[in-house]
Amino acid sequence: MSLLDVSHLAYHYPKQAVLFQDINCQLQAGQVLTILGPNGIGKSTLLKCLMGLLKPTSGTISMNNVPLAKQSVKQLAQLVAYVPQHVPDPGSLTVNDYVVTGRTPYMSFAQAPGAEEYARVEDALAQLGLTQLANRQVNTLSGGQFQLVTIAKALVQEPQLVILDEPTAALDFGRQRQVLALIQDLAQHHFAVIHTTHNPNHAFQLGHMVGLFSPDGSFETGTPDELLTEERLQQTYQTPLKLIYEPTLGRMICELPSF
Amino acid sequence: MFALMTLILLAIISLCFGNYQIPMSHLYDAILAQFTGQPLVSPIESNIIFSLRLPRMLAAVGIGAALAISGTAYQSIFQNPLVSPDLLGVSNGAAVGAALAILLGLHSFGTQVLAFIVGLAAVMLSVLIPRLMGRSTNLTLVLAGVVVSGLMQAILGLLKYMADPDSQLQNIVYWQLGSLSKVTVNSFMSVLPMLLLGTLVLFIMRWRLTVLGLGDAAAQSMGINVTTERRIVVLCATVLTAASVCLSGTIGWIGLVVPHMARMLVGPNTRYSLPLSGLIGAIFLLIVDTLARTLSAGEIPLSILTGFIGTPIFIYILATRKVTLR
Repeated sequence: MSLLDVSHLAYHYPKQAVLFQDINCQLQAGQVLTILGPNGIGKSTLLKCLMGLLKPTSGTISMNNVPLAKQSVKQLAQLVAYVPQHVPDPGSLTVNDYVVTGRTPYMSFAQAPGAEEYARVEDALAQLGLTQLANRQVNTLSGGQFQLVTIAKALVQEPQLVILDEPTAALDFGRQRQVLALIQDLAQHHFAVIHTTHNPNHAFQLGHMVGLFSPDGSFETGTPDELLTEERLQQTYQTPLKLIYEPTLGRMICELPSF
Repeated sequence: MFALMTLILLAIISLCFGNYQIPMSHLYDAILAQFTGQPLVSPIESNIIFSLRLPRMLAAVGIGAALAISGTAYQSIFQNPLVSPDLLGVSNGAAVGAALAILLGLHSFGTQVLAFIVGLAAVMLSVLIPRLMGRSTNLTLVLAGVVVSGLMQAILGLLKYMADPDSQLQNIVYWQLGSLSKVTVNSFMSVLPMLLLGTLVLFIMRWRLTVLGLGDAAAQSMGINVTTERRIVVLCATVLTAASVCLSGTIGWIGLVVPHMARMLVGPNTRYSLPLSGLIGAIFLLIVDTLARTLSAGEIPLSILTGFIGTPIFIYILATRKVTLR
């Protein structure tokens, strides 16, 4: 039984052309799916469908064999945590208060977070090395710090699937590596992880499953070695990029040619 | 806790102040006399305390708290610091109801009922417009509120134009400026259940308001049924405002300024800022109403005082850059 089962999924925004169709994929606990594809192809939209924020035009998404459409919003939030690409205005809550909102799916209507909830926040912040930020206001954090704080929020949500939309986009090299290591770590702790990225190297680095959107909107899943050939990547990004085997890393790296 | 103690102290002091000053010792005697039945104070003083000032004091506390709490709830769910409880047209709608009642020659209870009903109807219209358009987003709801408020103002203008300038028009204008002078025990008791219910529900939801304040998508991804819970908040805040306004007339500034004062003191987490906002709102209106009936021989309308006091406070909050969105 797959944790996540996507079958013949299609979506189009109202009064617009079909964005994607016939998407099929399965994901088990402990697996990572790295989604690659050109800008505007529907990566973020697919993620929003997977977490129930958008209703697919057709097809089904099931988690643990139960269709998403049959889950309540609360049940869904206990299964899937979402780290968005961009939070327009996070407000001026403290990091502690912001992260503890991730416990909401486990709290009753009248309940406010207590010692137990804040203890989980403390653990998650410690795991990500953010303890010293606990009492800072979230709108005073740098983009990278805030990104890690939203990941901490996803962790306290204790989901089975963590969805991250371009989690490395705002981060420097060091922090990109930290997030990728974290994704690896989540997988080792039996979370299923789906993330999008514009850097094919991330897929090679993680070495798990890849979901590749082609410019025509078709979607395929496979291992990095199967799918990420030089030819396919050149087609996807419409640019003469190079794939080179790097013996010291023991894997392929993707490079853009000089001008 | 400090705010609560201040409120209780001010509530007691406010019973002594007014055009007819009552010494603190007489207040104590009057309360004692109520329980023992002994004539410890003059019947005039007893009457002033229990029939005039007590219901007024309770109304000031209840209405001040209600307006500030609904302001906090609105600012949170609409993620906008400039929002006040009148956003969806409740105050303008209530003014139309009151003006209509004055034109029809209804007594104060009739005015109260009609103001409440039309206030609620205006908000229902604001909520209905985006649903008819099939786009129930925050933005369309706010725009519908602006449109409905405009419509209510036009109707109010028409009613004022039709009113007898020597009697009815004065009453309408006076109603619009807000006053607690006509509050009686009975009129206060008739809105008390609504004030209590609205306050209780929003108090229970005070943590969820923080989550709702993070935006629709974020709140939904954390298991909150955004549409339903936003409706509950709008309904409670509307009932609180309508119940307040129908008793006192329009009182500006409290719903806008007091939530900022609370956030300045305890931060944006509505778990703490909502109850504090209610207490500060109660203290604020209690002080304003006591001033309104003490400063001059006549009654100064409340909105005039809340405006004069609220403006410098709001400028201070702006100047110290303490205006926080949420």
